[in-house]
Amino acid sequence: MQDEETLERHSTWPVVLVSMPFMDPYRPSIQLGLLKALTARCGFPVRTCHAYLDFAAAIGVDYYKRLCDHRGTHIGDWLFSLAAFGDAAPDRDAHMLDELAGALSYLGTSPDDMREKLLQIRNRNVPAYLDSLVDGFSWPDVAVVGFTSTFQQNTASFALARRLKERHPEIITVFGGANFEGEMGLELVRTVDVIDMAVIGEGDEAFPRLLGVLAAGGNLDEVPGLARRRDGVVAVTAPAPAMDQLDDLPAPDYDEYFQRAEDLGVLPRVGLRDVWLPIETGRGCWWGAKHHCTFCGLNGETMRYRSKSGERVLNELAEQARRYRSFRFEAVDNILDMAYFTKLFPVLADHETGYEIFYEVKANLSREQLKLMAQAGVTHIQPGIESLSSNVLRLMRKGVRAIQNINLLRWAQYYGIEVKWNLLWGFPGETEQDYAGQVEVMPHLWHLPPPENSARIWLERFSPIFMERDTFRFRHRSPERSYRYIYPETVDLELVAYFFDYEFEGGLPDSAYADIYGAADEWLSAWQDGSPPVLKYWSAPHFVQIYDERRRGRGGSYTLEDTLADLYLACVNRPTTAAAVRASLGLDLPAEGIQEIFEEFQRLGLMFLDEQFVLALAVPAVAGR
Amino acid sequence: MTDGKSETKSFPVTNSDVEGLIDALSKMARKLPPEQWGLLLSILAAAGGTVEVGARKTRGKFSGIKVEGGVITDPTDRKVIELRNQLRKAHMPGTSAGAPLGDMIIPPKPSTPPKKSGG
Repeated sequence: MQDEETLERHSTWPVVLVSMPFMDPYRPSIQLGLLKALTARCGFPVRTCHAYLDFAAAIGVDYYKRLCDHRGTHIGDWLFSLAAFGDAAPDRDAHMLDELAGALSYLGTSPDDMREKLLQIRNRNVPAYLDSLVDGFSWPDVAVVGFTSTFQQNTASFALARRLKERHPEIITVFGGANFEGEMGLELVRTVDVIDMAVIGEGDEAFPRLLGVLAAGGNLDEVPGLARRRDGVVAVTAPAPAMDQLDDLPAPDYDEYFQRAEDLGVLPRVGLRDVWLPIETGRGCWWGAKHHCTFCGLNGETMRYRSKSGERVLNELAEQARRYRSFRFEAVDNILDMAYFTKLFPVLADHETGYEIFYEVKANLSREQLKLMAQAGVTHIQPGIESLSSNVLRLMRKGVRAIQNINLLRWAQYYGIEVKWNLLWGFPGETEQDYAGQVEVMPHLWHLPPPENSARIWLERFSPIFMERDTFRFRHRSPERSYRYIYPETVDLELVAYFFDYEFEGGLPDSAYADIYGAADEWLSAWQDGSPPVLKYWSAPHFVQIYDERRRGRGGSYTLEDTLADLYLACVNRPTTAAAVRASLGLDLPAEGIQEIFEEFQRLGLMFLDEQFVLALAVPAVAGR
Repeated sequence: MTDGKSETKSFPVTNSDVEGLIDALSKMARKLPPEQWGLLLSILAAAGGTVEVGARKTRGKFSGIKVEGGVITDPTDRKVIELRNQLRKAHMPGTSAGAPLGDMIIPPKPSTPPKKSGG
């Protein structure tokens, strides 16, 4: 608690928190919402500026969303590079649009159309947008402007900071967010003069403390994780300990997001609104803390897992639903707390609330767990499936087998949980056979949700394949090629880049993935063309009928009786083995004989075999049990 | 192989190996006492039904045989083969007219429940 004198001092120290393009226009910024609540709690007059909404409205929400949804080529940062760096910007003549035209072709109906649109945005829309932000707000009253920056928010933030500094040099600019993790933040502070200081790492405690020290004219060395230029070098204080007690955090304040989105017409004032409220129930990754997935660069230097109590999550859901008249929540967590299966989901299921909740999950969830999640209102998940080859999953240290991935897809579909997942390739040590096997099995899985994206892995800073240089050797590695069209020469891109272009020593060529790319595309097409393919079964004691219409127009059935029916049903709930099935059914057949029958089921596309494990592929026809 | 037990072993085998083995056993049969002929014939019969040769003819499987009291009663793979054959015949392709579900009479989509009469 702050004493009265401190609160009085803080009340004269106005703060504005800004989130610049590019952010999803249909999501409030949880970074702004949380920091606003934390800052207000300390007595500072604080406003949030979801400035990405203004840009979306200026260039059209649909086109803006296409820019937002893209990662890889940093077209968003390029659009603001001139405004951010002026004469030091490296690509005034727009060479990037020619050299990376292939990667940007989705942004126009033709290369000329794409070029014309993007140049118009860069040369006309961006300056007008920045002018409107500077003119449309009472900045002279503001002491500190805080910018949060993740993915392609850097140059837009620098561009606004530059304009503000030109007009109001007394304003203190503070930066933070994922783009300021570790050495990236230090290099940006060193080279971008409109950054007065940056909070490196979690800002929950550090940012309000920084404001308190600034307001009191205190010693900035007392602020943890603070980087700033001093005597020509970047000085940084010891990082703040990671926030442990997430229950102590306030609920994010999204009031100004909704107000601004409605004012700009991005959201309707009444009627249906496609908004998912971000909610944070946990931080870090409990799996990554033990076995960091080799390709994942998320969580930077704060991997240790922490979570809110079930009771706290229940209260926050209820409070936010009521406050924002919205029942859709997007957990920003990277992984689900398994304690919620006893502390949160049973209560939500009992309350029969109308929430729709999204979670990222590890893919080894059981049928029972998925059933409970569905009952609790978890309607959307993004499991870390990534591959249908157990060997590739081992190489990426994923901690699941292909057969568990497939089982999750089956039961999520059965319980009506929508699944979004990615198919990844390009892991050091994989073989062409790993992909031939996946191509072979994919037609058997057409009744299950297809991968939304299929692509070679990105090389991300902080990921093990980036960090463990003795284990993962590169033929070449350099910052993703669009960075050099964005940042001035004075910026060391090796230190600032999050994405890298690369080629592994001994890695497979792109041609090795042509077949799996084609197979995944065919699977996706089958789902986009009318009603999804079907493989489902009805059962009675010792009797099963399977309806198979995975290929449209080629429906048919399988009728299984007695031992065959028993064998199939024994493999329905979870991955099992021939020996376990033999024991559970008390069969007078050798396990190897049972395995041979399973192999026949596999040939017919009715089962999936993964080394010694086996799983029935059909899902029950009668829903929800 | 032990009396009363089933055993299955896998080892490399080709078509010509199997033919050679059966030929050699047939020649040996003439030297056996008549009471063992039945047993040998059972083994041959079992082998004939249970030897599989892979598509590349470089690997195969010679399955074990159930023996009770010195007499071959029922090769366990017979049951496996039977089940496998049943499975291969379990499929009924659908047709666009009349029988889209193959052998099934349950509709694939929820149907209207029957009404009780007199209600």
